[in-house]
Amino acid sequence: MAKAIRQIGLRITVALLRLWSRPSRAGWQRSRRPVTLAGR
Amino acid sequence: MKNVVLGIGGLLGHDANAALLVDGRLVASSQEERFTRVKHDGVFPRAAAADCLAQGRIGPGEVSDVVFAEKPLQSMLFDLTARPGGALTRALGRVLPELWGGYYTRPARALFPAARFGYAWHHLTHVAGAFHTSPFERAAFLCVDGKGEDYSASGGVIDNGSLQLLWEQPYENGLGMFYTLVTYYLGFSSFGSEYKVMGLAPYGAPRFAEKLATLFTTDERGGFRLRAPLRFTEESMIGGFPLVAAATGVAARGPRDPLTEEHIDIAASLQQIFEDEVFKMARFLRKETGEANLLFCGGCAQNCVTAGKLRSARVFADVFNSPVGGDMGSGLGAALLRQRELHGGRPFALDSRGFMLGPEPGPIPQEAQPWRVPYEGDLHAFVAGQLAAGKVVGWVRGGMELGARALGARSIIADPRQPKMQSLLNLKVKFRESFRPFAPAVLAEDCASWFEPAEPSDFMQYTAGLVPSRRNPQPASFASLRERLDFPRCEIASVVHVDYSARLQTVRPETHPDFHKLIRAFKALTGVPILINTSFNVSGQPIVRTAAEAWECFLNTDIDLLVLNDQVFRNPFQKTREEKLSWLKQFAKSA
Repeated sequence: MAKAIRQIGLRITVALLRLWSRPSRAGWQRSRRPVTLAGR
Repeated sequence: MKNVVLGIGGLLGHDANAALLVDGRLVASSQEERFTRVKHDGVFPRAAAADCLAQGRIGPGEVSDVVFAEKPLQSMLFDLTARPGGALTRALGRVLPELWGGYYTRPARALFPAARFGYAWHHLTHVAGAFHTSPFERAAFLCVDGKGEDYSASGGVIDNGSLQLLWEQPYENGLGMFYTLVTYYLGFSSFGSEYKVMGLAPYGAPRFAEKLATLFTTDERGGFRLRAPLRFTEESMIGGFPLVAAATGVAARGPRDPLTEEHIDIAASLQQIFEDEVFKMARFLRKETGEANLLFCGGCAQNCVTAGKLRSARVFADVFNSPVGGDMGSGLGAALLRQRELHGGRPFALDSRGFMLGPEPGPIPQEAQPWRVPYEGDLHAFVAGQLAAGKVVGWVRGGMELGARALGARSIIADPRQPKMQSLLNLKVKFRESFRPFAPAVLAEDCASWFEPAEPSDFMQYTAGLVPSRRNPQPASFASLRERLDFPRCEIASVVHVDYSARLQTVRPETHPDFHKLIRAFKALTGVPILINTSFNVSGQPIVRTAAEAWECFLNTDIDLLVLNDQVFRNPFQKTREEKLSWLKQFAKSA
């Protein structure tokens, strides 16, 4: 049950992320990554 | 209460490793392959972590922090969506359940129940590992590898107080991927074979560079991207072969096919493109950061030819290429990042053992005793005499090296003056391609009279050139690769490549006292302050760790003598060639 919920959750997340974001541009980009060990 | 930080690297599926800091002191660092005997093993580094804890006499319950050298959820979401991460994926990384992306977390949770967990951006582990093992107080960094979570190159500035990630090249279709693609296409299809192509390149001419350039886009800042999106899988690489073949007009080489002149020239072309792109990236970062020093790190920085050229070119006043700047040191980098958080980036002192932080060889096998060689007096003087007489020696002493290079603790050593030594070592000891060069270990104080630039390369991170006065002129052309290889281009041809370059190990008494003593003894006999130093293994085998592994490898190769701590053994030479080849088969997959 937990595995199925995880799979559904993951698929929804992936679909939303694909809708939300665009393919990256080539070359150097300014980084906005926070330099932290928090977050997976 | 002790502050115990365990760094764990290898989430990307290769080169699993662990490192232990206790109250800010580096106690141990180990690679999992040295225990599982599977080269580049990417399993959870259970044995490496256990070894670190044993060396530090630390119980699992005492580990206060575990830091992983990647953010697994960010990596997974990138792989699934083929989109670079952003604010949303980073927010998800904080709220989604641990097991969604924390496939490493489960065994670690069980092993270290009291620990706080942290996840480092992969490139920053390379940067921290490089910075804290460098001589710099402050430096720009250029990290290039196949793939971080969702980026392939990054640049910024680091000092003891701050770490600024300023620039990044997104996606995985970067320079490292390109090098791997062409490496596979040239028939070197086992993981981590890029260094073979680097070693092949000096034999060729870069006449395919323009053709290969049709496979990617780039700009004046080294903004590199492959036109075709590929993945870091064998299937994807093989799928890319037709693209390279169409660009070059040369069919992909099978692993057992002979190397043609065209293949060799493609290797030279690839290496030239790689160097050009790295130089463009470095110049861009020099201009952007204004920093004097550069840390060159990440898997691509293992290309010591490029690192050596970058240092000599003075794009930056100084360049440091860390011996632990690749994935095998990512656990150390992860632990250092936590250390910086806990102690405000206070300078970190490397243990006096340098990078000999791995396990001791352990007990000598009983079956070796009948073959023990008695010697009188000093071990180093005795072994130096044997080397000068043309013997090949396995040298296993003390804690083993961290990183891909054997630095004189688990090494095969020999006399570089012997004309046929390169062929002998390649074909009868290492069982690998005959073109592969060997590295010279040279006394640091004598380096300038043999190599230029005579700058430190204590961990074999750079190439340098033989000084012109020691070069024998070569004919304009050779009938074959074999003829070119065998030409006596200098007194120490076994360790000098066909273009007179050499991947140096400068040996100084402060960092490698034992090895320094041996080379000094060799110099006293021969006048040459140089030994061949290659890792104690055969093709595809991880470097030997224990005395028992060394003994087994010794029996199955043509090494003449084996030194296990203070004892010397001669090879019984009882194995037939068929038996040796049969033993070798177990490593064939990763050769």
